[in-house]
Amino acid sequence: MSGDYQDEDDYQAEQRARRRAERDYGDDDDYDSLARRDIGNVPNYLVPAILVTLLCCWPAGIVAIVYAAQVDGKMRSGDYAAARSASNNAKIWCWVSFGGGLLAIVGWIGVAVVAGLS
Amino acid sequence: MATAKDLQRQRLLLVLGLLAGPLTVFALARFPPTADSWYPGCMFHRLTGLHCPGCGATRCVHALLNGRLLQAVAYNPLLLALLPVLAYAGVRWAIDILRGIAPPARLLPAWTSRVVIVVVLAFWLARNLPWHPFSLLAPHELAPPVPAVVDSQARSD
Repeated sequence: MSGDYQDEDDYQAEQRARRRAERDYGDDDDYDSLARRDIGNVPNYLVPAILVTLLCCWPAGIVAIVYAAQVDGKMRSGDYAAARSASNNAKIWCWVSFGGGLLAIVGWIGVAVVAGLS
Repeated sequence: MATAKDLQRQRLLLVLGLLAGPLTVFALARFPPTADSWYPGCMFHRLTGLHCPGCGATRCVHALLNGRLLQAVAYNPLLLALLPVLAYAGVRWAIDILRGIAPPARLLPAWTSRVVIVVVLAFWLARNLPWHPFSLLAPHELAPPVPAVVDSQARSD
């Protein structure tokens, strides 16, 4: 267990350092700070993925959660290109889930209206 | 990644959330989700009769907002357990945006994603098993503990 805590502390310290750097460098255009920001900023979309899974439709939401988990794994192993692609997939599946849920609800209302009229 | 355009988009999302959030909370607190109410309900449940991991979420939040914690647990324990986690991530994100800082790309620590997958899939399977300890995880109604509260809520119906 102590190994886990060590990792978690390291992870948090890294995040803090990155956010400090971000605050300090802001919208600076120099390549070095851009690269540093890039590495800290591959989003995993875990929060929206959980939300769409629980609040509208699980099938695409679970795919999004799986991709979100891959982002963190790829980041740990240093494969940033793969992390970025997993991140992109997580984002796409969040939207698919959201759109699918919206479509199902609109469709259901449509059916209800038609049934009510007939 | 965190370009100015990204930040602007997230700011817009926060504004929309701050506008829609209180309205949603009010609607969920005021109007009870029943079988014949206008809440959309779960399409998966309607089509298959099985419970998805989110089934009972609306009723859970309604019960929670009306102070019936045990009833909220009975409707969807997973959502109730995840609410503080989601609230933590959301508040952290909102504070960063309000302070004009780019929020961290990953709002929750890395290990949470794997835990969430396992927990969601296990919960989904377990709440559809028809045997006693598992069937408690399916959305179910408890006997109303405080009839007075229920009455004052239902008077205008």
